Amino acid sequence: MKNKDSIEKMLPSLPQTAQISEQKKREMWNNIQTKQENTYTKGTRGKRKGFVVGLASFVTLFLIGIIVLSELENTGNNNANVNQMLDVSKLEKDKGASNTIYTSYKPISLDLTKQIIPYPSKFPTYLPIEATNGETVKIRSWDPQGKKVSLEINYFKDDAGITHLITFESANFDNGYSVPEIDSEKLELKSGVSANFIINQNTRILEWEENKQFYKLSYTYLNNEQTHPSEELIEEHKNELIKIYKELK
Amino acid sequence: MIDNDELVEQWFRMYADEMYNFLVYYTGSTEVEDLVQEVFIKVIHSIDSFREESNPKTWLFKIARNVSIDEARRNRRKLRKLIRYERESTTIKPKTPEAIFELKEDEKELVQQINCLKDSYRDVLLVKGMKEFSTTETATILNWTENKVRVTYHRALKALRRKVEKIEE
Repeated sequence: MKNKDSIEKMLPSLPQTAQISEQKKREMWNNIQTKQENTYTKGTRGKRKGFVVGLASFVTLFLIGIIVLSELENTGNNNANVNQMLDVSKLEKDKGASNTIYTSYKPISLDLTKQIIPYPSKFPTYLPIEATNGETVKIRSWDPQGKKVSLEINYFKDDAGITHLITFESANFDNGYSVPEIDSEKLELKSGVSANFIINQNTRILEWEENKQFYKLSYTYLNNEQTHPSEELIEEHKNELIKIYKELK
Repeated sequence: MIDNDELVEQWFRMYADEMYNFLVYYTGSTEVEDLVQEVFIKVIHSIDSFREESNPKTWLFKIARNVSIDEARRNRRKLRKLIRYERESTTIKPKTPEAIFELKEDEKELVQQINCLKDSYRDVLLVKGMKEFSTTETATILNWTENKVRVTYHRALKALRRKVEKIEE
């Protein structure tokens, strides 16, 4: 298994043949059902108490929503209509992307993106790095009609063995999996907009929802020393991500 | 129409063994049945947030990874306590993957070296390399960008090769 290729070939052929016995599976499934029912019963007590608070919050939010909507109607959208579809006439399908969940298109310019996407996405105007790649946008359509759309821009910088990668993503639907993340911290970006800040080994992520659009900013930092990121570095990346957020236009 | 409980039970039947195998390699222990259970409890709780157009297997493995990371943290805390209070005691080590898979010598060596790599390398080698999830699926499971998957996978293979070569010298 000396070289990289043969190691790569060995990985999927590692034995994965262990099986849980049928009897054990039945036991496990019974446990799963019992445990999840117990968790549910515990949860409902708190839910009753939370109902009153929830109702009050709902009424408040409803009133705020009406005010915000009327404001939006007055100001209008800057570059797209939410109910429109992605204009694919100037796009070329990315045949290299072998995925059946969405249709991926070859990267295009930011200017063209603003003209063809069906929602008024904001875009970064500030970056903490001098990106060495061109600013191109990768667009994905998640339904056949092109109503559910996401986009991604990557900004790279390679500097003496250190790779900085900042990724900006937006979508007009919730394209994340709402699974509770490990190491996630709630942040208030501004009044009414809260974000999840997630720390992975090499990546710091800020994700939030604003005006029914979903955004994700990630800062990946790779170095050759393979060391764990320091608290200072994590804090620095967090501040930079918040700064990028503040300068989105 | 199939209800949520039936759907999760169907997934349990389809993927429990595969998840068990993955978790044995991922945690380095053969005692992962509780983890498989915990994954499916979480699945039942979060099923409403599952997007139907997504691949359930990707979603399940993303949860499996999160659950095993949480478990590793709990174990580290337990271990720290154990060390503090019972410095002299001997602990029973759980069985390792070698014990149930009857790995050949070179496979054993490969698994040991994967477990010596840093977490992100091990993650991408097991999810993309061993489980053969696509780059997009791996990105979803690990909550990374696709670019990061590509870069890290390439670096992880290189790092693994270096380690294996060192042993063989």
